[in-house]
Amino acid sequence: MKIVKEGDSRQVICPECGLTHATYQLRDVSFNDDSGLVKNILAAVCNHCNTVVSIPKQSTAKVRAEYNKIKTPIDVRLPAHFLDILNIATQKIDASLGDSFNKALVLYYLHALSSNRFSQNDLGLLLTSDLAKAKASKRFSVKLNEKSINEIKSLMASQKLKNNTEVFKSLILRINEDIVQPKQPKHLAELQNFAAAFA
Amino acid sequence: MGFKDVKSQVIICLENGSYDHEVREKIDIKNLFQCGQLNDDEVIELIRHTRGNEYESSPHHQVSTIDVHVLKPFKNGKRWYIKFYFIEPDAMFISVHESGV
Repeated sequence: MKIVKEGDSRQVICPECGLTHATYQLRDVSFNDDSGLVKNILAAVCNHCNTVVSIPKQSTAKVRAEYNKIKTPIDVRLPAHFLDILNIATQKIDASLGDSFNKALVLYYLHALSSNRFSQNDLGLLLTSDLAKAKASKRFSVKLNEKSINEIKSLMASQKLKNNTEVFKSLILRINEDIVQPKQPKHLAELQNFAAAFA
Repeated sequence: MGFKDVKSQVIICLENGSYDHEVREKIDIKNLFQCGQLNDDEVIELIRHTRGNEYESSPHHQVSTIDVHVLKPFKNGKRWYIKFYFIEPDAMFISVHESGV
């Protein structure tokens, strides 16, 4: 892979100056919707007008890391016992974990199900169970990056779920079936490994 | 440079990592390649998937000696838009995004 160095020069088309030369320098470059800033990356800077003209491939890793931090808040209302299910599941995975692990557990399930690593079978059907029918008196809030938003969309499409609330409800009901109800929780070793990062 | 040459040349640039992303002072969040949401292999796959009738080129509006290439491949139910030009010794990607976004 080509690696450029600070101080290297290249030909560019600058929007202000036309065909000219630029020099790779360290710059902070922001996203055009002002949602974030990628600090201190190598960028080609026009030698005449000092405008950032391009960024080399090697800077993309830092751009991606910053882009993935951009998160969208999602708020859904859930029955109170759904949060109890998450608390019990967390305790069964590792009794030393606090309830801050609950959201990570839901997102882990979202990823495992949307990538078909955990079976999606009958996920939508869980919403017709008696356990699903209760007043939604609690709030469940998470901040998601675009990857997770796309995973929600993918589950909605494959399981014919109508909205974010149905997605989160079905995920938590699956957690109930996999972890809370069985004497031997499913995926326990994997989830305990995942949980180790939160201890 | 014909369509086949453009395709093979840009794929070589991608494989060698010899390319830049054009920036107009800020990073365009619509450009999935620049934001790292598509990797080299995925973009190469889209380019390989492009047919002759999904390609067009026109002179750069500022530098008429440089052609700007636009590929519009259709893959997995989505139309894509890939725009770039060659500037020695690299490719310069202007944008890669889903069409209509």
